[in-house]
Amino acid sequence: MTDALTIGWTRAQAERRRTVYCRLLALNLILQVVLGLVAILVPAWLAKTVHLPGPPPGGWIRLWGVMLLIMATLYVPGYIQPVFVRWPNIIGILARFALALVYVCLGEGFRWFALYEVLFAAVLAWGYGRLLRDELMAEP
Amino acid sequence: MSPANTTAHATEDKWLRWYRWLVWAGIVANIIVGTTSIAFTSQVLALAKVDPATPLVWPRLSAMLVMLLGGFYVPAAIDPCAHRYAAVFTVLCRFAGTAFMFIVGGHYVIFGLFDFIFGAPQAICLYLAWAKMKAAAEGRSATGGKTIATIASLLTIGIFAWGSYRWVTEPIVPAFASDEEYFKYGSIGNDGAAGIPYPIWVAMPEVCAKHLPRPQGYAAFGLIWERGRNPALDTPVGFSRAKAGVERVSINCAVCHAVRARLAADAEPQVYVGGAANTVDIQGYQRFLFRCAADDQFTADHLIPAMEAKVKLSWLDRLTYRFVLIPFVRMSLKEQADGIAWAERRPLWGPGRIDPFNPVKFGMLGLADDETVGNSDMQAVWNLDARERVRSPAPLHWDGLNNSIHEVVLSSALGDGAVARELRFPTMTRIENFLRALPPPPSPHRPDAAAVERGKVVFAAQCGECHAADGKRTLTVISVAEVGTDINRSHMWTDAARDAYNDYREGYDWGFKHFRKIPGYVAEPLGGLWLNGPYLHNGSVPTLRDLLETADKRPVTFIRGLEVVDGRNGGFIAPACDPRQMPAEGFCFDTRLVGNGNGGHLYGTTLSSAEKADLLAYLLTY
Repeated sequence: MTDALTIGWTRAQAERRRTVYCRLLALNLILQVVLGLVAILVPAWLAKTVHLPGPPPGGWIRLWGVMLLIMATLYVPGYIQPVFVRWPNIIGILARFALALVYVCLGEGFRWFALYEVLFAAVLAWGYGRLLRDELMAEP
Repeated sequence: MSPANTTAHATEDKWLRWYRWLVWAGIVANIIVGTTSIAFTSQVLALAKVDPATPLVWPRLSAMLVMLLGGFYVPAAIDPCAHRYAAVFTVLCRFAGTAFMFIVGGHYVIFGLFDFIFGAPQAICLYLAWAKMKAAAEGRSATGGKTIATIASLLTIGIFAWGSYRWVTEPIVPAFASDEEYFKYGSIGNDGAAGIPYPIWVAMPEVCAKHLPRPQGYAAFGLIWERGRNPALDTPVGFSRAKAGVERVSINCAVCHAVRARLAADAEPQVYVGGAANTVDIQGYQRFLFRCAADDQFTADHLIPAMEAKVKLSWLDRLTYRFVLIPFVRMSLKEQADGIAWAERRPLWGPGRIDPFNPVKFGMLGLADDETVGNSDMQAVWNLDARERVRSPAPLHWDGLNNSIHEVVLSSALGDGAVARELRFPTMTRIENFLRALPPPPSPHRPDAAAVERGKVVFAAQCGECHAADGKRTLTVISVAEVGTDINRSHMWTDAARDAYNDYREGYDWGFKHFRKIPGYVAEPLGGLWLNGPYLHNGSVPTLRDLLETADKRPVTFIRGLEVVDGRNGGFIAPACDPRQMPAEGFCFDTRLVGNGNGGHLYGTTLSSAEKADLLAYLLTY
């Protein structure tokens, strides 16, 4: 019998996947919170720095920041229990792909955010898929 | 299962079921609002009464995010017990949206109310469900939960009503493509706080005709209507119309800073924006409003028919005006009258004059009546940037009590009744930028060229130090002891007023720090001189020719408020008058009254007649 066929090994593998996924998600959520706070606190600077379209509409940029914070907050249950609470993780990954598409359509400085969203969406999708697969494999 | 447990379980199901339905309803609402906002962005913004967004990508992005957020609410809608975190965060996030939108304020509270209408009931249902579950688990009946839920429900209704009231009463300010149009007719953020509902405003001259000085409607106060605007229905220059609950009429900067002039008695009047209003009797206008509000005729029975003769009113409008707005306006105007009753114990301002700071001192800043008289001529506000090029920072107001253009624009709006809740900083910046670049109109006078050349030399020798663009003392404050003009205006501005204004924090940290006290008057440059009469800070000398005479030879009384330009003497035509008799036109100004003294500024008075004529010719070119 090899290590790969023992329950203990598959459990440990699933735990490792979980750790990796949670770290990736934590990084993503922290970046999202930082972006949200920047949008709320210094909207004009953000608009100028990343070349967001049109004259800087401070109120709307702040609203965008607040929504990013709210979205990060709603993600928290999925971060705490990624296996048991699957919905926020799945909707979160789909939302990132959708947002990336929207950002591409909006153009100008939003394309940076599209790149950011699509990269994290792909990495999180890969990480979450592996986590779920390994969790299933770890079941006796 | 015991009967108690059965009851508890049934109750738990009921509240949880309500919670889940409310979360589903919120998700559906998010999707409907999101898709509608993406498809009909401008229309949704207009319906919500928020400012038009340019470009539309921002509201569309927000709409998209609203839909995506709805997706995160699904676990709580499916099973709030299994997804307790999601259930709590769903509620918290609704409240976060509410809080943000209420902080943003304005008409954006409607979006906060949208979140609140789902968040608050969800929170109550969730609390009740979990309270019941906890009580059932502990084998007791939960009674305290309902009391708290009832209080929370009442609080919810109260907050919703307050938010709705804010949304309804928040002014809707018409957009103006041109900065000049905005200056003349745009709102400065005083509509809700100081505005009079338009139908009442338009009916008051009819109902209170006996309180008008002349039977000309509001035109009796020298207000300015441009060609094409109807004095019976349209607001004059210096009056905005904006919707704050109902459409309201309020004053703006242009009421004091737009001048109407005719180059000859039979010429068409012209309006010169930025000039000192020469015909407008702002105190007369105020007194009319106050007297009308105190009159027995100021009732719904008299006002509503007069209003309906000019404005279409629905049955709901009639009810609202009868039982709410007319009594409220009456009360509000009476309060304003009480607040400025001190002015009745001082000389009248008359057309083109105002006491700009005592109302602020005794009202806004809460200082005690110090018996000072601050009556002074209205001031032109041309070329503010050019002034900065002469001397930076250049003193503003007659006594240079502030030297920050930004602060003067902002504080002037506050003095006109603007409040933090309504004031929009971008509009203040727009006005400021407009005035910075606004040049005075060139003089139409064409005096003898040779006399002008000779006068230029006299000016350089006699006046240039204080009034030439490159004068050493131009745009500095000259002490009262030196210039010798009436001291009252300078005396009015006190150290206490300076400190109180710099510390003023009502509704917002305004950040004033440039108010100061320097006893004296600013030596102004000559731009727009031909429209600035009568002269001196208190408008006590009718013409430039009179200004070159000693005080004993200057007119003791003269008519202010006439609009025909005096091409021979400089300023406006201003015949002598008897203060005991009201003239057919204008206002008889008496230099013997407190604050009206015409002494001082004796520069040039010792010149020969020929030199005076040459100097006058030169001055007429400005």
